[in-house]
Amino acid sequence: MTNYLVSIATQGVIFAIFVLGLNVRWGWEGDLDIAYYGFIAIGAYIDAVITLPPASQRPPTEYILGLQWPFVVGALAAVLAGAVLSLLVGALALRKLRGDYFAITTLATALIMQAVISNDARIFAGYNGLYGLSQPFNSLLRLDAHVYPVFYLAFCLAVLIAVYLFLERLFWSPFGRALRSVREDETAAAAFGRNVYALKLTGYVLGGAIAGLGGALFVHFLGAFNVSAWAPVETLLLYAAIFVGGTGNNRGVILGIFLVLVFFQEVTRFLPEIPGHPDFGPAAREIMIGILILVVLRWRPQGILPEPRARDRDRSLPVGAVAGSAVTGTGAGG
Amino acid sequence: MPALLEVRDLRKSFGGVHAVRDCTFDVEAGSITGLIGPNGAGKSTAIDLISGFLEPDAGVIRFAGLDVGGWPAYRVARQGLVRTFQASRVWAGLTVMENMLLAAPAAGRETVWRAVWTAAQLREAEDADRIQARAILGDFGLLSLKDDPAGNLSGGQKRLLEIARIFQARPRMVLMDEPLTGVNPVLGVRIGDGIKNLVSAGMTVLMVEHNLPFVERVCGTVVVMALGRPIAHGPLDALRSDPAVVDAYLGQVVASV
Repeated sequence: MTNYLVSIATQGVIFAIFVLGLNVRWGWEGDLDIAYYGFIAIGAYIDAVITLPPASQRPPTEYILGLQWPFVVGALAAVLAGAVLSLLVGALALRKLRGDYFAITTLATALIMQAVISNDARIFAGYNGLYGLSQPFNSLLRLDAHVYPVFYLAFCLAVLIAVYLFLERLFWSPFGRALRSVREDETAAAAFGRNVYALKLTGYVLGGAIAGLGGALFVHFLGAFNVSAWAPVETLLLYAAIFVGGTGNNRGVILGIFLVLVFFQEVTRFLPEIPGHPDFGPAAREIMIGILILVVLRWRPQGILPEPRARDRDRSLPVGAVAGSAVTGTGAGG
Repeated sequence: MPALLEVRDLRKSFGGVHAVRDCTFDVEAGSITGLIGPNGAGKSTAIDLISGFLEPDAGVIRFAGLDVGGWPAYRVARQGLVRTFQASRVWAGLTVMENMLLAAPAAGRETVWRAVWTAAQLREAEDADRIQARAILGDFGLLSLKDDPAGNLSGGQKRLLEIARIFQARPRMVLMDEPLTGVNPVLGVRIGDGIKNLVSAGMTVLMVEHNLPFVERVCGTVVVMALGRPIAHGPLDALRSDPAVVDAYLGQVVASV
């Protein structure tokens, strides 16, 4: 039972990292990105082929690299891969496309990525998949099989906290504010000197880097990865978490992913089984997630924790002490 | 000394429609110039071309000595040429104060790098902006709403916030596309005063507006456009007797004023 809880908690923590990255793209920047899970997958694959031994040692699977380098290198490469791929996709998709057109383009991107990786089995071993991933840091720690998952949970949690603190700082910074202004009205943002394309692209790359990082953590958690482990539809689960938890709110989306993933995925496991209908459990799960989204959208359309509002705190003088009038006081003629 | 804004032979077509052609006029620094003319005369298109929201087919737009024709809107804005729109465009989901802070020129502050490593410096730099923003919001009667989402403001308050944002931005020149749209007459007076104060504060204004009494009260000089080209330039008073102007536009309107 403890193993089971640790496993679920780790999955929740890793998915929380995923959803934080998607929240930058959708919550802050306002771009409905369907390709997101593809960037997680790229992070997972790149980390895997960097940390795994050469493919020649594992016939019949084939994959690139196989460097057997440490996890830290693999994770950094995964971040970089997520960022670079986002730069390529975003540079094309964000130039002119908005709304539905952008969403369809990213859906196509995800499908192309999946088609290429599944059909060319020489890159990431296609449907055979990559397996036997190392336990990060365990060559140093030498923890036994019962203790290591607890360490890995703690490690993922530390990464989640770091990502969260980074994004909180960014949310309130001039950059975060500019990105949100682009979401609210990009024409007005341009009229006040904002390079909308550059801002959106930066946000998109940031989201991709976080996806890559999450992918690296995920692949070592799973221990194996293949094409059937990811599909564009997974992105929708992350969107469900964002809608339920609160679009744009870092804390909200973390709450959302734990509600949607952990609560609904796992609690529905305990539903009674109906003989002859093995699909009942998974189907009931999806229906319940759907109902949860509807309930939230009906009674709390901004999510359980809506996007926080900036409070202007006067840190120097009380308002009344500001001398004169900035508007009428400047011109000599008034 | 050349004019702050010089427009020369500007041309823009949409398919077979010549929205703007042979468009040449100057706006002197420190003036409030009205751009008037009947519907479809090309006034809004001219504003879009000058502010970089449309790319001209031909012609020269020289602002403060720089040829800004064909530049993207954000680069034009960074040169100190800011515009407003016919419909209010506030950042509805952000607070009134955030709207003000976003208007302030913040070149170089909006980077991920600085957000992470120099957060304290950024806050300090922003404190000056906040103090200025509070004073301006106070003048426009919006101070008590500074922490409210701008989307909650009434139509008139949104218009005031738009002018407040211009004061915060302090550009060299403002292009205003029908600042009175959706504004009641009492508020219209306040907006007129606000626009005059923009000029007192050292800015230059070019404004499209259909309300001729308002134009007469606020604008020192007007450019009259018809069928895509300027047909007259001068104080509105003098143009009332210009036969071309009367013929193109003012005929019925002046009679009714």
